[in-house]
Amino acid sequence: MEEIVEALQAQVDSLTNNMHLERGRKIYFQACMPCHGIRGDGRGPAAKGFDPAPRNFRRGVYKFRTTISGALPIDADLERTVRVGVPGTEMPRWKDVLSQADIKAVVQYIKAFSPWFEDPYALPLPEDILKIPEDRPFEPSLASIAAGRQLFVEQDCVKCHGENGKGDGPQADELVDDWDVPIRPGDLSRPYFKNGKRDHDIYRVFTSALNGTPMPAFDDLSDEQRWQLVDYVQSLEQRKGFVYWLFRENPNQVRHPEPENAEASNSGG
Amino acid sequence: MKQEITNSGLRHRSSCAALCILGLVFWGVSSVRAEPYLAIQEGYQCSKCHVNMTGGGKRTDFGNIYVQTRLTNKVVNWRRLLRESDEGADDENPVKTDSSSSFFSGRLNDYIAIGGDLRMRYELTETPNNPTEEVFNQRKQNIYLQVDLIPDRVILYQTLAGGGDAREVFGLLKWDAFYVKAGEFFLPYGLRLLDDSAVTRAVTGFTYRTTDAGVEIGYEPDNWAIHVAATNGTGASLETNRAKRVTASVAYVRKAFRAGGSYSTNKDAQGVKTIIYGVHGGVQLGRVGILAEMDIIDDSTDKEFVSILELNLLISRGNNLKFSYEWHDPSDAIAQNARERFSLVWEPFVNQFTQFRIGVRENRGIPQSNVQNKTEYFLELHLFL
Repeated sequence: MEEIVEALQAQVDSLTNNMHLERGRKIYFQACMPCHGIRGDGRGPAAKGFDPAPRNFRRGVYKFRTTISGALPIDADLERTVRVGVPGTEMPRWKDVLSQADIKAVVQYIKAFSPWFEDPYALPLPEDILKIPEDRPFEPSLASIAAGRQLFVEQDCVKCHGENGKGDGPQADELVDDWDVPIRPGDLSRPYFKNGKRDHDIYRVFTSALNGTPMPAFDDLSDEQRWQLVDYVQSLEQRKGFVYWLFRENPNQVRHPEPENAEASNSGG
Repeated sequence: MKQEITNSGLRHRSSCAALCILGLVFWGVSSVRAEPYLAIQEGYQCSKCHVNMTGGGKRTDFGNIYVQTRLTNKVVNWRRLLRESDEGADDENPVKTDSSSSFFSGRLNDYIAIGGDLRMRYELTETPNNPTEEVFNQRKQNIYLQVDLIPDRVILYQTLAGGGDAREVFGLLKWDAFYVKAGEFFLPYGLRLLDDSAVTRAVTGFTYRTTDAGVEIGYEPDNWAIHVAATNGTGASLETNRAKRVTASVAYVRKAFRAGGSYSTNKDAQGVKTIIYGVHGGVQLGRVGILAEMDIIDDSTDKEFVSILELNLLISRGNNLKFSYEWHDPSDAIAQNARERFSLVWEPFVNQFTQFRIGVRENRGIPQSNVQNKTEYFLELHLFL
């Protein structure tokens, strides 16, 4: 009897999964295929000239996650990226036009491009999922910013991000990603980051690393030190008044400020 | 005041302005977009957002994504609106209307996609010594059909046009950076501005009201867009002589920057040869976008000059303010007959399918002509997919 129930359950699961995939396929074809390609390889008809290039889903390597360095993302991570987009790139924010159910479905379809998500040994274990504290241990202060600055230098962040965090460090021009494609370090003085600019978003990057890029995880730093580094990075943002507003900011390219990211970060883990 | 300015002086001033803009562009500021100011802003080639590789008409799948997610500040999710009135439904338990996405790119299936444009305008025109005129004018009513026989390789395209636009019908063969287009289509020349009455469009004749039948080949490697068309030169009607119209354009495109040139030559039935050539470019600096184009029409009896300088200020997402200055010298053989036009247009996208355009255009021409000194006010509704 148990075997029959299990077999029926497996069939139900399989049907449910197929329904999700079919729904995801329809959405993918309308919303994602032009850039990410029909094969999910980031070579869609509109991808030419995009910098950064659209993500190649077949590799199963994702930068924005709540899992440890090198691990696959969990569904909530991918859903978050689809929902809020990637500021400063061609990846738009889909939460305005796609329902949450649609986003979940399209994420299942995106995962199907990579064999890694079918390998039970490759999926992140519960202990691989980061526990990012809800509350900070202390509020930002001049002291925490100064301590963060010291860490910024000690941890060699300046080599890539530069003295003032503008992405112009001495090694900035030599960086390549895991596929030998040149990659630029982030300009930390910008009012937006690709992965969100909430304190917790920055903390998450320090903890999870950006897979496929030279950006490492700072596992060896204590929780307190990572928050100090967060405070310093937040202090680097430069607001330059009217001239900056007029000649540097383009509101069509970046949603700013970005409360959506904060909301999404919460649900994304 | 205007009469005191000589024709050559005006031409010189305009030429200097256009050259300065192009010079600024070449100086290395950054890119261009697809209403041309959008193409310049993003550094997109026209083919990124339009099925017709030289711009205009139906948007590509990506073009629709761009419009619906990037251009407007207010995205209306109609399924969500329905859900708000449906108690007990949420994202996990959607109402029955949530059987699919509320995003619609116009693609019906793997092979067929549709699109459309409707522009309905209220115009008020004040002409000196004449009664004020008011009119509702349906300027554009197009339905687009795209059939991908082999997706992104072999495409059939047709416009069901109304409201004055000419119909485009062509087949498109694409391979990597190359393409061949055959049929009736808009010719590749200059900045394909939305406004057909802009002097660089109306005077040169490269408008949405004039297609031509023939063949176009193109090559778009990385940052370059090169297009050459050989057509009858008689609009869409047949011409059997061997003198065909040749139109070509080349542009360098990168993020926030575009610069290029265009050339067209044609011989009519009487053997009169007309050559049109010019330069165009644009640059985007943050919220400020600048476009410029200058063209010369040489029909071997005299030369005609047209130029436009357009400034766009992106006040906020989907909220553009456009100022343009146009200059037209109908003949270099006649002094003091130049015309100018100043335009101020506010172009808000109110949602992902709707745009309003509210504007005023002031014309200045020879004082003897009332029409050349009219002032136009307009309010336009633009629905699109």
